[in-house]
Parts: sequence; C-alpha cells; structure tokens
Amino acid sequence: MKRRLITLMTILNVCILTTGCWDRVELKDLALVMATGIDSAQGGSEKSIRVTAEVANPGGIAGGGGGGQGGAGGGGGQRAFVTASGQGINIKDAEQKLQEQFSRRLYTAHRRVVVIGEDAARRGIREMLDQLGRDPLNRLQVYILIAKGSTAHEILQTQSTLERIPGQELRKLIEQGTGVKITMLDFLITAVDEGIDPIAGAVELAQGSGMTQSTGEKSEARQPFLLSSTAMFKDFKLQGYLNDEETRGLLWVRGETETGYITAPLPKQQGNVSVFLSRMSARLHPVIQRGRVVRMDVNLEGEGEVVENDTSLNLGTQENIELVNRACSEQVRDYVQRAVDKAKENDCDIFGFGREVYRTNPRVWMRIRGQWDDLFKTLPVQVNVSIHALRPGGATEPLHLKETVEREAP
Amino acid sequence: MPENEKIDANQLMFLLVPTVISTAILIVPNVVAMYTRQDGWISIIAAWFLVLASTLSIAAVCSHYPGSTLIQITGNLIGKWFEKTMCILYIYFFVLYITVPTNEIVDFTALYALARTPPTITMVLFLTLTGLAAWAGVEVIARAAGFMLPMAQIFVVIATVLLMRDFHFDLLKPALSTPAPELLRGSLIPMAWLSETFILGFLTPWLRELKPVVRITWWTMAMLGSTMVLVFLDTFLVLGPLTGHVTYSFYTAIRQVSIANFIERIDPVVVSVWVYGVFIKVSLFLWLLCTAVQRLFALANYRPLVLPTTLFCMVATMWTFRDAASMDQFLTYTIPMSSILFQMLLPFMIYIVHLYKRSRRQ
Amino acid sequence: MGGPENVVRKPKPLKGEAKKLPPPLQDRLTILESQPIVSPANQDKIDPDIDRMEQTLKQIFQNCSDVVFRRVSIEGEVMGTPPVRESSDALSAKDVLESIPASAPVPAGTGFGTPAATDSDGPPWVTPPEDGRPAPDTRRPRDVLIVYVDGLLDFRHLDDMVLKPLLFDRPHPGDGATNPAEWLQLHAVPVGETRVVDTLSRAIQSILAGEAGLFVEGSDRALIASIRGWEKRSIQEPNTEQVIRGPREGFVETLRVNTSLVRRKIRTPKLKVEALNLGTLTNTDVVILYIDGVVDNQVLEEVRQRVRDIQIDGILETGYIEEFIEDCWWSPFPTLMDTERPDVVAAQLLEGRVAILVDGTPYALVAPMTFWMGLQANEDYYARSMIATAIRWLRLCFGFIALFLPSFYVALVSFQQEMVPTTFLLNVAASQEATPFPAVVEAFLMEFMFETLREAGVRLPKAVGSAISIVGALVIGQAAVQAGIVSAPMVIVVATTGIASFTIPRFSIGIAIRLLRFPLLFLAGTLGFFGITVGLIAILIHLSMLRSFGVPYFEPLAPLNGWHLRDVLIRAPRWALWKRPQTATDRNRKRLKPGQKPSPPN
Repeated sequence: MKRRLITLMTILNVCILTTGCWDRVELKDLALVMATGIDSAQGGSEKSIRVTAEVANPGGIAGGGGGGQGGAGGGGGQRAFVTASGQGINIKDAEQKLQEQFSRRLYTAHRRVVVIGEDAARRGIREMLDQLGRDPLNRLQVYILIAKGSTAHEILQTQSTLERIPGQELRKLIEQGTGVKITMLDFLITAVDEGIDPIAGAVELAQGSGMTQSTGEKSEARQPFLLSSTAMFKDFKLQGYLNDEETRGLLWVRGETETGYITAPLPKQQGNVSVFLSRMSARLHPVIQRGRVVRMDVNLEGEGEVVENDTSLNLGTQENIELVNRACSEQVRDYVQRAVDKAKENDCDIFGFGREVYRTNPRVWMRIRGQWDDLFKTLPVQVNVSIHALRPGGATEPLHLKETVEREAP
Repeated sequence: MPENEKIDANQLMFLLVPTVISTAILIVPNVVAMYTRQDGWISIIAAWFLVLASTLSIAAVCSHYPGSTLIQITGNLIGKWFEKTMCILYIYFFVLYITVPTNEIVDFTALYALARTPPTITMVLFLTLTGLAAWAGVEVIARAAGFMLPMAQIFVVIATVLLMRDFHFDLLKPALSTPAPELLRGSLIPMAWLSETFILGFLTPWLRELKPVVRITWWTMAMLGSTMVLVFLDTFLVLGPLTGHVTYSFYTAIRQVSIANFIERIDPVVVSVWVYGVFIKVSLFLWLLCTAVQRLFALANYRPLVLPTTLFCMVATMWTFRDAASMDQFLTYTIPMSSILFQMLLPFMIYIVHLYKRSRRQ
Repeated sequence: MGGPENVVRKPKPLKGEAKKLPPPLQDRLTILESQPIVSPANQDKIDPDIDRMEQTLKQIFQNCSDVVFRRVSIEGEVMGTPPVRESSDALSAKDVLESIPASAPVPAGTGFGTPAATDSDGPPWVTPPEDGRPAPDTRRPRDVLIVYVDGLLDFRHLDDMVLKPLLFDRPHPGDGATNPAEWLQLHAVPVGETRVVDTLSRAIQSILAGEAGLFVEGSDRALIASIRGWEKRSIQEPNTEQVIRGPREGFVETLRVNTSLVRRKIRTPKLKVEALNLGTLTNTDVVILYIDGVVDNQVLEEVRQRVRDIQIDGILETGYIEEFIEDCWWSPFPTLMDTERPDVVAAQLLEGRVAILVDGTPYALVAPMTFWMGLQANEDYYARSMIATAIRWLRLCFGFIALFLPSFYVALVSFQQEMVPTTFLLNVAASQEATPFPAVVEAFLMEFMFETLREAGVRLPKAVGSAISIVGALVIGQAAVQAGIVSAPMVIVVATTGIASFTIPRFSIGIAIRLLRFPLLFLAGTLGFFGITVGLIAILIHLSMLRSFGVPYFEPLAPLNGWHLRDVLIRAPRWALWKRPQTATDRNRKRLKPGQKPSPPN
C-alpha cells in the first residue's frame, strides 16, 4: 500500500511538474477592462464594429500602496485609465484587434458597464449580445447603457469627476438609484420573455451643467455623465428614448423602484409640493372580455412623507394632505400616461403588458401573441394612482410663514 | 464477498444523496426548463414520485435477500446466466457513470476555470483521487461523504438566501400552463438522474443492518426531491426564461450573487463543493465497478483491480465523448431511456418476479 | 463505519510485528538483549560471601567512577546463632535456597518474641554452608556492603536511614525473616520502599536506577532501598501549554513524580499504572496508565502489545515510542497526542484513553487520538461552555486560514481574479505592479521565511529570540515591501497565516497543518481553485482513512455521529456531555447523571 501510494504520488507530481501552470496569470499581466464601448465603425463596412476598451491602470491608481512610499509603483503623472479602440466584424474580432495594442491580456471579468453607441444601437444589437453572455469570464451583471446622442467611444473617453475611472463612475451612477438600472441579465430575460420589450439606460454628457472640478489653484469645467432617460428596444433595435419624467413612470410601473420623489404643482395654491415615497407598488391588471384584451389597468400605490412644501398650505389638516395626494397622483398619472403614449408611438411594449396577459391568461396570450404588436398600439391603458402622504414631514405649516396671518386668511 | 467493511444506514443516505445530486444539479434545471419553463418543478415532482416507487421496490427486494446485491438477487430469482448478463450490462453502465461525470468535471473546469490547462491533467488528477478512495473502500467513501452532505445541503440553503435578492417570483407565472406531454418529456431527465438511487441495490450487502433501509430510502428521496426542487427554483427565479439557454444554469444563477459588492462571484466555492460531490459519486461507482468485476470473475479481493480499472476509466473518459456537444446529446437523448430501463424498469421487474415467486412459495 | 455503538474495534496490526526478522539480525538482537553484565561464572546469583561479591561487583562496575562501595559491620550479637532446624516442607526450593534453613513464614500478627515464631531471640536463619564449610561464627560482626551510584540518591537520606541505623542503633533481633537481607528490610533499614531481590542483574539494575543495594554477608539476596534523590526540575507550568484558567503544574523528567501528579487527580484503585522496562541499554522505565473499566480493553491490549514489542537499545523520549507504535508513519498528522500536563492526561484517562509515560521526559503520550483533540485545549473544559464554543469556532476558522489562506490568495490573484471585489483587486494590482515574482513564488518565499524565523526563534535563547523577531519584522515585513520585492498584501496574508497557525493548541497538529500548506500552495499555484479542491479532497480522504488504535481519526465527524459533535463543533456544558466518547469501553460510557442542567428553584 505504501509503495503504491508513493508511486501514485510520484506520478501525480511528475504530471504537475512537467506540465507547468497554464492558467496562471499574474495581475501584472492582466489589463482590467472596466468598461467597454461598442460603436458601429465609422467609414467601415456596414457590418463592422468598433469596440472601445477602458482599461484600468493600476500604476495610476494612488493609494494602492504599490511600491510603498519610495517604491517604483505609483508614478505621479499617470492617468488611472487607458482607452483604446479596435475594429472588427464582431465583438471578439474587434477585441482581438484591441489586444494587439495592449501588452497585457484584456480581462473582462471586472467589467461592469457596457456602453453602446446610439448609432450601433439603432442598427441593432442582436449580434453583440451573444458574446457578452457566452464568454464565461463576462458577468451577466454588467450594466447596459446607450450613449444617447453620441458614441460610446466619446463617453468612455470623458474624464470622470468623482471616481478615478469613468467606468466606475458610470457604474456608481447607475447603482445610486435614480436612473434605469438594467443589467445584461435583465436585458436578456426581457428579450427572451413573452410580451415584453427590453429597455436600457441612456447616458449622455450633461451640457452646461456647470460642474467644475478644482485641481490645485485652477478649476476646470467638467462635463459629467447624465443618466436620466431610457432607451427602448424593439427587436434589438433602439427605437427611442423616454425622458426622465417618463422614465420615473416607467420604472414605477415595472416595479423597479422602491423609493422615489414626486414633485407636483398645486396651481390653486401657487406652489409645489414634493413627496418622498418610501413604499411604491405597481399592479397590472389586464381586462379580458370574451377572449380579447380590452383594457389594461395600471394600479400604482405609494406612501411617504412630504419633504417640501412651498405653498401656504397647512399640512396638519387632512383636507390639505388630500390635496397634496391628489396633485401627486395626478402628476404620476401624467408621467405614466406620457410614457405609455411614447411606448405606443415607438411600438415597444416596455411595460410588459403582454407579459402580464401571458402570466394571467396564458391561453388568451397564445392566441393573440402574433398580433400583439398591433393590439398594443391600440390598447387602452387606464392608470390609477393613489399616493398617500402619511406624514407631513418635520413641520406642519410652512416654516417661514407667519402663523396668525395665514391661519385666518382662508 | 463483502470484506470487513460495513456502512450503516445513515451512511447509505450520505452516499446516495451526493451521488444523485452532484451531477443532477448541473444539468437538470437547464433541460427541464427547456421543455417546461416555469412548470419545471412539477416535472421534477412527477419524476420524483416515479423514482420513489422504483427505489422503494428495490429497497423492498434487497431487504429480503440480506448479503446479496441486486445482481445476485436476479441470479437467485431467474438464473445464473441472467446474473452474468446483468453483471456485464451493469459493468458497462458503471463505466458510463464514471466517464460521464468525469467528463463533466473536465468540461466544466475547462470552461470556467482552467481554459488553458490540458483537460487530461484535470481528468488524471481527479480519477487518481477517486482511485485512491475506491481503493480505500466504501467505508472510507461513506465517511468522506458523511460530512460532505450536510455541507452541501447547508450550501444550497446559503445559496438560496444569497440569491433571494435576485428572485423574481413573477417568473413562475403562469403556473400549470404547460401541457401534460411537455411536462412528461421534461420529467424524463430528472427521472434519469434521480433513479440513480438504484445503486441502493448494490450497497445493501455492506449494510450493518437491513432493517432501516426502507426508512432511509424515504429520507434519501425526501432530501433529493427537496434539493432538486429548490435548485430548480433557485435557478429559474433568477434566470427565468433564460434558464433553458444556459449550459450550466444553476451555476450561472449562482454567479449572479452580488451582495454589497463584496460577496460576489462565489462560484469557485460552488465548484469546490460540486467537485467534492462528483468525487464521491465517481469513487463510489469506481468501487462498485471494481467489486462487480471481482464478482464476475469470482476473485477474492477487489483491491488489485483498482489500479487497472482506474487506468481503464482514464482511457475511457478520453475516448467516450468527442466534445461537449456529443455528451450533451447523449445526456439528453440516450441516457434517459437507458437509465429508465436499467435503473427503474429492470429493478421493478425483479420486484415483480420476487413477489410472484414469493406468492408461489406460500 | 460509525453508528454510535458500531465503531469497528479492530486495530490494525503493526506491519513489523508479523514479520520475523532475518536470522542474523535476530541473533544480534538477542545478544544485545542479554549482554553479560554479570559474569557467567556467578550465574547471576548473589554470592553470600561478601568479599567475593564485592569483587564481582567491582568487576562489573569497572571504570564507573560514580559507583560507590561502602562496607559496614553490624554487631553480631543481634544475630546470634539460630538453632538449626529442619527446613519446613512448606517452602519451595525456589523461595529459599536449600542452604538456608528457613523457618516457616511468620503468620500475620505475630510480633517479636512470639514463641510460635522462634524459640531463640536470634535471627531465624543460619548462614549458608554452601560449599560444605562449617557455618562461620555468627557472633562476629557481619559485613554489609552498600552499593549505590553517586548523585542518583539522596546521600543525607542514605546516612540517616541506612548507615545510621546499621552503625549506631541496636538492631532489633530478627524475627520472621528468612534471610539476612529480609531481616535488614524488616528490622534494620527505616526506608519506605524496600524490596529483596535474589538475582544480581536485578540488583544491578536497581542500583543503576538510583537505589541503594545492600548486600549482607551470608545472604544470597540483596536488599534494595529506594532512597532515590537526584537533582530534578521542580514542577512548573509547561511552556507549550499555558492556560489562563486551570492547574499550572506540568510533568517533569522524573517518572514517579509524573505518576504521582496523575494519581493525585484520580484517586481510585482503578487507575492502573503498568510498569515496563524498555531499551536494552537505557533500561528506561515506561508506564502505561489507564482506568480500568473505562478504557476499551481492545485498545489497551493493542497499546500494550505495541509497546511491548519495541526492541531498541534506548528510549530517551516518548517520541521514540511514538514512532514505533503510531498507525501511519507517513501521515503528517500525529496519531498519538503528546502533552505535558497532568490534567490533560487525567481528562483523557477519564474519557477512556490510555497514557504512556516515560522516565526522563515530561511528555506523555495519549492514545488513541482523534483529529479534534488537536484542536482542543484543556482550557476549553475549564471555561464556560459558550465562551469555549466561541473560541473553538475561532480556532476552527483560523485552522482553515492557516491551511488555506496563502493558497487561496494565490488562487485568487493569479487564477480567479473575477472573484476579488473590483476595488480591492485594483489595489492589489497596484501593489503587485512593481514586484518581480509571480504570486506563488512570492508566497513560497514569504512562507519559507516565516517558517525560518519561527524555527530560529524556537532554538534561540529568549534574549536573542526577540532580536530575531525584530529583525524579521523589519527586514521581511517592511524592507521587502519597500524594496518592491514582495507585495504588501502578501505580507499581510503570510502574517495572518502565521498567527492563525499558532492558534492551534497542539503543536503537533499545528505543524502538520503548516506543513500541508506548502503542497496546497503548490497545487494552488498550478491549478488554482481546482488544485485547492483536489488537495482538500486528498486531505479529507486521508483523514477519513486514518485510524488511531482502531478508532477513526476524524471521528465523530467522518463517521458522522451527531451526539458526539457536541464536544467537537461546540463545547456543550458539562452536564450535557454525559457520555464518554467512543474511545471508552461500550459498557461504561456514561460519565455523569444526565439531567443535571441547573435551573433556579421555583
């Protein structure tokens, strides 16, 4: 037994020793891709793709403690990231071209953001999705963004403001929660699922936002990323955008936001109120009569507290709160209605109305799924919103107004 | 024939559960979802009931013939020639059950971890380890399985908890909308994997006492069924309709875990647990193979057979499947039929014969 | 394997004992064993002629400058000529040589002057007229030869208790003794532990063990008086197993002190102390301790057998014995536990284990050992259960860390980089940017350096040891990082691993884990996580295969046994640990009355 074991061990060791280590790759031989941009190639043939990789440069990231105090690591002038582009007939091909420019192996496992240029998105992204999902290194949790009105290349080359690397900044911008947060996985699921069309976040460069960043004495103007709108897809082609208000409506209906702010004007009181919603719920209810979908009811409910009130209303009374509720509900209904209209206009069932029909009445759906596109365009949608401001916030009456005067006024 | 080795009833369960689960966990959610999408859990439960019946019948037969395996029981019931034929058939089957999981290990590691390492290395390493375990005997395998099982079960639960954030319960709607034929087709694959519990009939001679076999069968089946359903739900609630598109869907689902940007990509842990499970499975089958060969040629000891058998299995593993696609086809289309025949129908037939003989005797 | 009552107790026979040695070797061993310390002419008998005896002894102890011969004379009158009597037929020839006309053994209770015993007041023997010579005049002073090894006995004791009575006191007339040596034992030497031996070799052995040998003229027996008293270390707290709460005594190098330390804790005649003598040259005293009725007899028999079968010239430490009787010599894991603490030995004895103590070393061996015993400190049982449980888990975690952290780190940074959180990875990448080596090599280097430092620190005197640690910390910790040879995270990893490995209470298990780290590191460096998994499986299989004296090594986890996990994964309160572990005999497994959970009175 001993002898056999020793023999086995020897064989094992020889096996390992003689063959070396193939998959070992040191960190210093990896180029960590933080974000990838995909554009349609300029000037090239119809099919070709231009891939931009944004690679982190560890040497440029200070605070990593690279060479310690006096070490050879962190050079002062180095940028924290490097971008480069390559063209090819598909993504891998273009990445191959990119690799030719890098001394280190491109490593996409830490990529969190894929930005797709508007032009490329309009032409269709069907061919791109597969590579992003198939390669086991790639995360399905990568966020998909559409470069609204520009190319991905342009976005990725922009100097980030708070984070060191634009890719990181984009990711944190998405995760911060106001905008659309769509990962590759979500995108693929909605693409595969019945009766729903995928959406993606749309990023643009904020024009004239007035953001400045001071480096030493001088301060320079910066163009931050702006993530407010939503890109709608149909058959993997970009159809159009929703603006930020419509996006809010859309996200609520899709149940993707848990908290949010609603600001609504109160025309009679010559002012506005803002409500923070700490609970938001959405329920779709297809109304089916005689095997036909006659109407889609969208029921939205929200609860929260008032955070701003520049009218002169005293929010300590129930009627006034009711006023606020009604105004906010009206506002939300408006958002949703506008989003629905735009979706219909672009022929994208981004709300998943069809999916809701499938989930509740699979038989009906199986019959109508072929004509859903037409049905959706003419489908009446009824939006019911009820918002309850449960608490008036930290004050009942507006803080700045004189008490007595205002109380007698109405 | 059974040497001094003895396992007890709990250890039987510890052996059976990882044997079934370790390979099923990778393939079942994917294939089931291909046919039945959100109703996959119904398929699994349907398969579970059928397998329960067949396993219970095996347990019933075996507890009537202490000290003999399923093959020997057939010899007693039907005839010596039949026993030899069965023995050869099952030997073929065992070889298959060694090569297929080993291939899975190799493919899987090549896909997700060691893309550039020659697959032969992983295969040889893995089979060497299993050979060692098979040499050590069923007792040691059972002991090694004993602390693996709770670990794996706890792990599935932890995975569920971690994935909870990504669950979309709406994905299970519309429930019960899949037509029955599709459901049945979907249940073939889970049935094929679940019915690997038939090795129960080969392990009973090593049991210290036969009485609790039926009880343990129930426990085993309960654990298997719940784990399978849980795994399927874990996968489907995360990946939804994508489940059927992904090669190793449970694994892909696990990869989505991301909590506070810190607990993320826990998949190598999954792979470790899974490799351990497959290791238990393959070493058990290797041991079964060696003992079956030993019995076929009426040898005194199986240990001298381990080394040649392991080497043979290494060759067989390299030879059986040309690529992952052919294995996939084999797993999806061939295995279900043959395994239902060998793992469910044949034992069931033996049970019937056994009942018939017994009624005649009375 | 593994129901609670079902552990197969069939200890594997040792490989060597079945085999017969080749004849030449066997012969040589036999020669070694019966080395002629006694001249064949005397046939290992004690010569009644004191002059010849002295001659023989001096010949035997030739060139042994530390052996002292002291001759004294005793006044003759107390040993008046006894009447020659018929030798009683009750006595066998073996007991009393034919030349000694012995009286019947003194019945119990009969004292001096009882008429039944003798009819004279002289000692009841007659000097042996061995060669037919007439009996020498018993009235003349009789010579007593005292032989001892200088330094091994307490000379003040010798003076007071042996010489003084012989020289000054008027010895009691012998009564009931059949031999001058026995007479000395009964009446003349006021020493607690005495015995009479009748062979020369045994007398010599005792003398070498530090006892005084008294040869009396005219007697073919010698009296051995145990007045050992050599310089010995006082009982201190052992350095290797220190506690915050618990007894602070440790074994010393003297076997008797050690057995007394155990005996003081377990005061029952069931505590058996079986003596053995091992080593053909060292003649080392070895004792096997166990509690009768608690110990599993099969295990005990196996231990006895294995210890008895040892044939060696010398035993200097328990390690000598351990290597002969362990189950698996090529395993990094010890299958016998060593400890310096009597309380640990006592606790293990109470759990049905067997302890082996050897003269000349403070380390005791405990068998059978399980893996978990290596992860448990005695203090676990003195602290309160919740605290002990928490500490056990801490230890378990750090055991894992000690085994896996470097390989895990290597697998992470050079194989599965996707697992590392992005920001952390960027930091690591930044720190590795300037280092020249791959992560594996770096890890190997640092681990190697760490082990070197540790080893250097162990051997050096304490004052220098601290210098070593300063040099180590400065040179290896800081300078290596500053010079860009090693990355800072690696230093953290290695340091954590090092500290973690010291949390394991038993050094022998800790060192095994430290050793296994290197192959694992190698596997991680070649195959990443798959390699680690393979290594882990190999270790687990090995642990499942190991047995210590028939008891599965990984018990109660590997043959899973739910009940006994309460003393492994947790440390249940004392009142809940009412069963002895599987090492105890099946019949006597209950150690306390169940249901003693404390509760406030209502």
